[in-house]
Amino acid sequence: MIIIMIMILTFILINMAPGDPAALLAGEAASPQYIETIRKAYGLDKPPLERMIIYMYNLLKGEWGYSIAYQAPVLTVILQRLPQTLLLVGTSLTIAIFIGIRVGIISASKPNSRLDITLNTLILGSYSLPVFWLGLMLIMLLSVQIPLFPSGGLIDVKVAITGNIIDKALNILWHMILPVFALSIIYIAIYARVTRSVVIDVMKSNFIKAAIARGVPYKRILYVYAFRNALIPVIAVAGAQFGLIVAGAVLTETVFSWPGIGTLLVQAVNYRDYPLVIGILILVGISVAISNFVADLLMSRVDPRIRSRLLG
Amino acid sequence: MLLSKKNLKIIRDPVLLIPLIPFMLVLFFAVFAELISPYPPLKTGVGPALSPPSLRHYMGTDQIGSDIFSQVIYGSRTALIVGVGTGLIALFLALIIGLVAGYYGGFADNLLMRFTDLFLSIPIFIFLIFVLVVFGNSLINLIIVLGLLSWPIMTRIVRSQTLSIREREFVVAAKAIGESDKSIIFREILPNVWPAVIPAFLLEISIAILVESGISFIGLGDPNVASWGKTLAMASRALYAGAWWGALFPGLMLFLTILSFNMLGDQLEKVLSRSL
Repeated sequence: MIIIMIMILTFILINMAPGDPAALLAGEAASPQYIETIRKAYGLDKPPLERMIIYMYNLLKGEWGYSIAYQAPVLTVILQRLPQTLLLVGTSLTIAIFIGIRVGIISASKPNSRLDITLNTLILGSYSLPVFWLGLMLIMLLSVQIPLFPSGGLIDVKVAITGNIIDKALNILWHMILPVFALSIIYIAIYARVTRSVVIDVMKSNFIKAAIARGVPYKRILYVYAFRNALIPVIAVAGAQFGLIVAGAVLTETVFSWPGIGTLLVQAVNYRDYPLVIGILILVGISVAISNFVADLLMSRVDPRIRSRLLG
Repeated sequence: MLLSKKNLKIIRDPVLLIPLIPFMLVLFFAVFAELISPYPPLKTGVGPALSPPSLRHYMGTDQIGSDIFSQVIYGSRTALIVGVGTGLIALFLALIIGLVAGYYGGFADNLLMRFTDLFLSIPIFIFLIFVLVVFGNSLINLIIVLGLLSWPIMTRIVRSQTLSIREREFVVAAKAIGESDKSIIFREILPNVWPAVIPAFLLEISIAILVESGISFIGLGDPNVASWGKTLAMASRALYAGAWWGALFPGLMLFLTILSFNMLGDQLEKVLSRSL
């Protein structure tokens, strides 16, 4: 659904934009012949509705247009950059989910205690941190002033050419430390914030009071009873924060010149490489759809009631 | 109701006033930018390139000799305009959609909430980049598009609040004496929706400021306006020359501003939810 909507929206916006959409898609330095080819390829000489169907059909076929800056099909360029982004975001998200949820529960275990107030202030502080500024400060301290880590990039050129596979892996890992740290802090804040508020809510419900009355150990109540019931809103809300996750990734990649989708997007913007920008937009739309789907699946695993609703 | 005696008493608690300090500072900078700023913010060569903080340039200069302190001051104005502008557009849409959906319920509610969910899953940052690339990266475009994208969260809050207020006695009474729907929505329900919406409104402002600085940081900001994000982008290229000042001050300002809006939102939420 979201994919279709993004396709339709991009289509409408391209057609609303000032100027000729064919020229827009072909890029600024395109020759008149190339603009004509584009016009034919996208069927821009046909009526709007038919054009939209052709446009969506092309996207589904995997013909995402041709990147002007890279002189290669958009899909090829994007797929080359995707693994690096998945590596960066995947690592940070995994760290953040484990730490964030834990911090949230600890903070919620004694609401308004000194520990909670300290943790909550920290969470709010990290939540308000602009990730690119955090990145700049990390580079300044740990890369320029005290040269412990590389300031950016994926791998040293020397290692990439001469090193064996273990050297390469270690070198990438070494380059990952700062960006993953910066990104994790932001993601941890997202998860901890959600978890804390949800767990505090759940702890007020009757079945928790009943469990306390029955003498179930507090730790068990917190980590089993409350956590299990808090998990669904946490998954739902964290799924809705997907935009924040993407934005954080783009900015982190920019700061650390990480060769992923984010830096690709910024380059595409600077070259006014429209097909590439649109391609990345659609890729993000697809990942939103996938993350929503995964969130639904996870929720149905946690809560059997949702499973029956999904099947029925 | 919003400023009842009880609420004012809690607000007078000095700890709760801490986040107001950066907020006031930004407001002061934004309003009196012309008077405070020692140099035009975007003018190059007002001092030597990359000079560290001194009495002539409180926060130093960047590699093209622009004064960073002046940029920080004018950046406050940009941040506040974007934040409040976006917030107001989003608030307006959220009130209309949320009140209608919550009050009438049924089919209208279903349809509007489906629509809201769809909008909620748009990745704002990426979509905004696309629109700015196609339509041109002016400040006004940024505010309009960001406003048109950020209403869903507040809409949900307005709707759920409306749903619960709709069932209260005073609304039922108003209906019984034959008040019109319009008058019930605006005179009975709307005043009771504010307490739930205002914290979300403040959070929305902080998100908008964050998004604007991010957009400027990747080079899509309005070229004619000073912005913290733009100053930071410039500074990121001077970092390796050891010029820490360009990155530290604007970023700190940005961080404190966002933090203060978030803290105000959180505290108001606590205070106002107690008064409901």
